[in-house]
Amino acid sequence: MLAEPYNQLSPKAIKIWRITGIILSSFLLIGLAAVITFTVIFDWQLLFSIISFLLVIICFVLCVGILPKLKWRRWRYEVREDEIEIQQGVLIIKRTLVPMIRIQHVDTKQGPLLRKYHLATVSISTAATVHEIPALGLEEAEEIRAYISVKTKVAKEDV
Amino acid sequence: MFEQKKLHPIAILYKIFHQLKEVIFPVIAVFVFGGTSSKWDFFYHIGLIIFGIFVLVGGILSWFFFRYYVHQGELRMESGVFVKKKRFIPFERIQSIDFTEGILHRPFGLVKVKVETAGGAGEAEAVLTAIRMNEAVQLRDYINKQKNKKHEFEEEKPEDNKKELYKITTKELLLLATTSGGIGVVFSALIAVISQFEELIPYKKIFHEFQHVVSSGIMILAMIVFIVFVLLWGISFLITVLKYANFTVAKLENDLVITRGLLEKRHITIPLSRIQAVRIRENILRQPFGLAAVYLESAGGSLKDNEASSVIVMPVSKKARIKSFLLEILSDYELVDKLHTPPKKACWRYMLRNSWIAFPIIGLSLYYFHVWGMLAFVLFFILLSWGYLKYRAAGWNLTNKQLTISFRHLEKNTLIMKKNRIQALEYKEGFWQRGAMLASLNCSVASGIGGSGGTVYDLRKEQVEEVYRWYSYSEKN
Repeated sequence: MLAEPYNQLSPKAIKIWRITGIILSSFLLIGLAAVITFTVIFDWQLLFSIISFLLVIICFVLCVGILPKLKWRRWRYEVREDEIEIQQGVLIIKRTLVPMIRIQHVDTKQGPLLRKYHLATVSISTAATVHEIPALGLEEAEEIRAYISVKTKVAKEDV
Repeated sequence: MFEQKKLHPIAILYKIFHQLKEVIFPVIAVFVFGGTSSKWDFFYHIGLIIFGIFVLVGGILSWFFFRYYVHQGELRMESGVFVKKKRFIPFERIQSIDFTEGILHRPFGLVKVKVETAGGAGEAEAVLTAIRMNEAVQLRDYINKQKNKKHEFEEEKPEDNKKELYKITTKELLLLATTSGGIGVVFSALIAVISQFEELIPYKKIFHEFQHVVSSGIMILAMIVFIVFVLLWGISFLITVLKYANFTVAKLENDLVITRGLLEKRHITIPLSRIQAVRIRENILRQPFGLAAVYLESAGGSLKDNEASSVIVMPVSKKARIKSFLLEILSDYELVDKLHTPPKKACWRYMLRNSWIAFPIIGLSLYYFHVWGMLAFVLFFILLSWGYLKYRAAGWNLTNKQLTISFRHLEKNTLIMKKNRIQALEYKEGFWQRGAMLASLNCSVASGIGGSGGTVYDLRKEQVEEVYRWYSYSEKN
């Protein structure tokens, strides 16, 4: 049995995900309003409206209510001497290993929402892939970024 | 060097051009189609003006918020108006620094600086759209000095140092061309066979009233489809022959050089050190004969040059030949004969994973098209058998330094990767896999501008964990 990586994301991530869930739901709500309008004007089948309504409800319950907490509980990462391990996913658990020596560069990203809560996303690029660790505290993000930067320079190439 | 610098304002113009380029076609379309009713003209014009203002202001703002500087052995760039991005590129990772000059650069003594790292990633890793020439030179010299780069000068590579390893024979070329049609060939062969037995199939019994209409209708349809497929196949045959005539693989110093082509001669060089993985592809027509095509995934190539990222090195050969060829040119890649396969209980999972999408389609087509909806069952059956073939093609194998996986999309792929060329490894455990102790394995290698790789589903969990542990660089696991 493989051990789980140690670190978790900032608890504020839950709030962030709830907010994005609300934004998504409101987009769907607008869609629902459109469907209802068209149903009234163009005499569409009632089925569409019912389905759209259910979609909005399901999306809201999942994305705002249930998923953020579950997502946060599952999200783990560990920055080791030689590699980075990431675990994520609610239904499908995904564990990723990225060797330090494969890392090309590390970026930090911060949208307006993350900035308000003083969080940032660390984005790790290899030659083939990009991996993100979302919603970390600013100092933590910067620490990780600096640590990885140092380690990738020092990492021994294995032939 | 160390203070944060902005780009030259000319960069704003480039940004704006770049933005406009993206919308030029819709704008033209609007003009062409919207021009008829004058009632909407006014709104279109207002819309365009507003859009123009947005682009202008956007360009100015993104120029204003962009910074570049050098700090702690890295080239750093900060950008973004709403979403702030900070990019850090360590000097060691920088492969090349190129200058280019556009029309607007020259009069002002500016250059566009492109910094590329080892991965390539299509566009250069960092682009400074417009800075003064002397600043650019300063930057480049500083970075080069810091990298302590050793200069290698190119010697004239003597042509006789070239060792030819493989040349395609005429028979092989014809074999290649005949079998490249893939599904199209199978289909047209099928149709050909069906039309042969036309008298035997009881169309006339089934559609008694529509006897003439239906049978001649289907016949005509079959004929047309058949002819189209034969034509397509014929064209593909010709193209393949022209493309792969004189296909030769040679070794020159530390590179593999591949030349091919009759009308247009192509010349592809792959440095052995840039090879990321070996991929063997078997399509439906070739597999039964034990024939396969071998590709090398290389870290070279760019957006425009797709062929250099996944290079054919053996277009059509028997497996045994492939094995010895690999040993000869790439001593560290080994074609393993037997791979571990997923457990029997994975079979239905493969079939379901591939065909579940047919269920809603069947439902919808039965609802809307009634009886004809039954045709959707054909789709279901096809997807199901495809799923089974995927199950049969799946496998993995681990040696000391090499991971081999096999899987099927359309063709059966066998991917041989060395541990130090695998960029990342993923182990996925879905909700429905957990109880059955199954998991899926995914690996990525660099290929051209981005990544490539493969996934094998529904393997025994302990086996996936074994591979995961093998890949881990730390002692913890």
